Amino acid sequence: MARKRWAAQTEPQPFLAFVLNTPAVGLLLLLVVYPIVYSFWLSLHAYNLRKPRQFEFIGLDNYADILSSGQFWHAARVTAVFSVGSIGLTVVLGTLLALLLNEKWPGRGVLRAVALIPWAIPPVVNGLVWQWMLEGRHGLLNYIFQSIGLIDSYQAWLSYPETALPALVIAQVWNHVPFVAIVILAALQTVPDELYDSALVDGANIFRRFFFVTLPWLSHALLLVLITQTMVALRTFDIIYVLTGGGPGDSTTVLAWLTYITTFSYTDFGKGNAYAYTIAVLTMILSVFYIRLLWKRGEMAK
Amino acid sequence: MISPFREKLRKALLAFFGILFFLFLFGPFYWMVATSMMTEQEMLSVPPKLFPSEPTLQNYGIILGIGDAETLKEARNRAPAVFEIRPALINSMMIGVLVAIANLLIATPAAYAFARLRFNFSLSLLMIYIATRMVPPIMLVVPMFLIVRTVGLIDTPLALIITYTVFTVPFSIWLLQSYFRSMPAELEDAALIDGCSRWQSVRHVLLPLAVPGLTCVAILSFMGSWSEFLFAVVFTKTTASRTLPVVAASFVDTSSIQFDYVMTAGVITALPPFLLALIFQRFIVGGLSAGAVKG
Repeated sequence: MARKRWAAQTEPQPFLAFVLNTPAVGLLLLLVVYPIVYSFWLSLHAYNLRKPRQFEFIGLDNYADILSSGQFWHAARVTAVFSVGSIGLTVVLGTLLALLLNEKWPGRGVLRAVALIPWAIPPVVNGLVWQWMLEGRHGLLNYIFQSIGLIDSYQAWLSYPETALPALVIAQVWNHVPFVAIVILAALQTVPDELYDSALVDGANIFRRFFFVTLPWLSHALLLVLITQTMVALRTFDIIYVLTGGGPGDSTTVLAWLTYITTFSYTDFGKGNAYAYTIAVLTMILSVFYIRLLWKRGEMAK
Repeated sequence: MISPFREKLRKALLAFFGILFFLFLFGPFYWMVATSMMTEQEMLSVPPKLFPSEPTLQNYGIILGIGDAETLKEARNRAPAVFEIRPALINSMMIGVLVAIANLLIATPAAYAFARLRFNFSLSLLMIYIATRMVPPIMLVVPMFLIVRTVGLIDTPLALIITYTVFTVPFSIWLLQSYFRSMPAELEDAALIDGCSRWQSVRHVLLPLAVPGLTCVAILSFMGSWSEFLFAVVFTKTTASRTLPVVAASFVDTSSIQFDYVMTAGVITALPPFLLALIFQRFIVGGLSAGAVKG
């Protein structure tokens, strides 16, 4: 009887736990689970808001349409290029920054404080900042590039397909380098000094030390960063809205943007939902792949 | 052991890369703040003026509706959207605060159940909560738009409050339950032995001690809803519910973008997350690193 009164209960208390979880579970059922199911149902229909009467069951036609359209594959390619580019650059620069912040030198404190700034900037503002940096007639980047002789005259970077996507990548990288740096730095600080000492004794130079001591030690943190950054890259929407609107042409139309304009500009909700589902499946495959990677590493650690 | 020459080389290299990183990370931010303090003329000067010759807060005044009639009229001609910023600021504040409160009300009981009660499938339930965060937002926004439209909540702050609460609650639960777990249960036991009810032991012992954790949950959910854009741009139409990111982004819809106003709007939008990051710097860094070091 007395036991029953302990705060950390040893006897199961399913009813109270159920009651306490009801509000959260209710919300999620109503606004995550139901929309997911509803979305699938809609994706099996021809449904355009402009013709609300024509709500017709067409099975998997929307999916067939999507997968046979050049639009989808183009967007998939753009998404892949953008993701690989931004994730790669973010991880490399973030690791470099972390290595820099891990060394003792006079400017470290300042750099560490400054490094957090881009992280705190909301994505929309990030887009606006780079819109202004890249501006064609007064942009600061044009001025800098011209001063150091990189370009002859000012360029409208966002108006050409060849430069619009790299511009998006730069904006994305700027926003996310701090996060990567913080995570990697934390992992760096746990590297035992003995490892470096023994590597030094063995006569390993700085590069060998990095690749054979530091990098293996960072693999868990790097994997974590890779996962979060992949999710972030696949979700990128805000900076595309602000910087390019998917253009010029469709050169920066990633899958998320294609879904957005299909649904909200062309009001084709049937197809839009099919796009949404395709993206979700893609994300899920990637997640499973990553989780398995993590799992394997966990097994090995044990 | 290390020769003085190599030490000098090391310092020089560190300084070189340090400066490059400094310019890359700080430059764009500085340029935003500097531009927001320029007049239109100065902003458009070629070559650009790296330091505003007479820094002015006039742009901030205009956005908040302060200034003489002449300036305000000129601002209206250049970019009417300027006057949507003030209502948007109020909307964003209200939505953020209410989402934070809703998070505390919904996440605290659930987190308590995970931390202090034994029940079947508790781990699975926690995993399901976390899994909902893996669903891409673009997938949810399409059906949710139709749902919100059906119940007539388009262009109301309520739609955004509910949506943001749904998105932030799972993480809040996860964070709070691990916080509660880290607190010793003995204190609550003592209260129970002294004749408190379970509710009283929570109200008078657990919650007062958990204030740092609760604050953190409130702040993170506030920040999450403050910066959110996708749902905000889809669910809102007028100043009745538009949030700051939506209004700030709307400046680029026009053919000639008034960057002095845009940068001012940007600074205002970035300010709360920025201040919170500054105040809670140590905490955030600690929290982010904990995930990386474990395992």
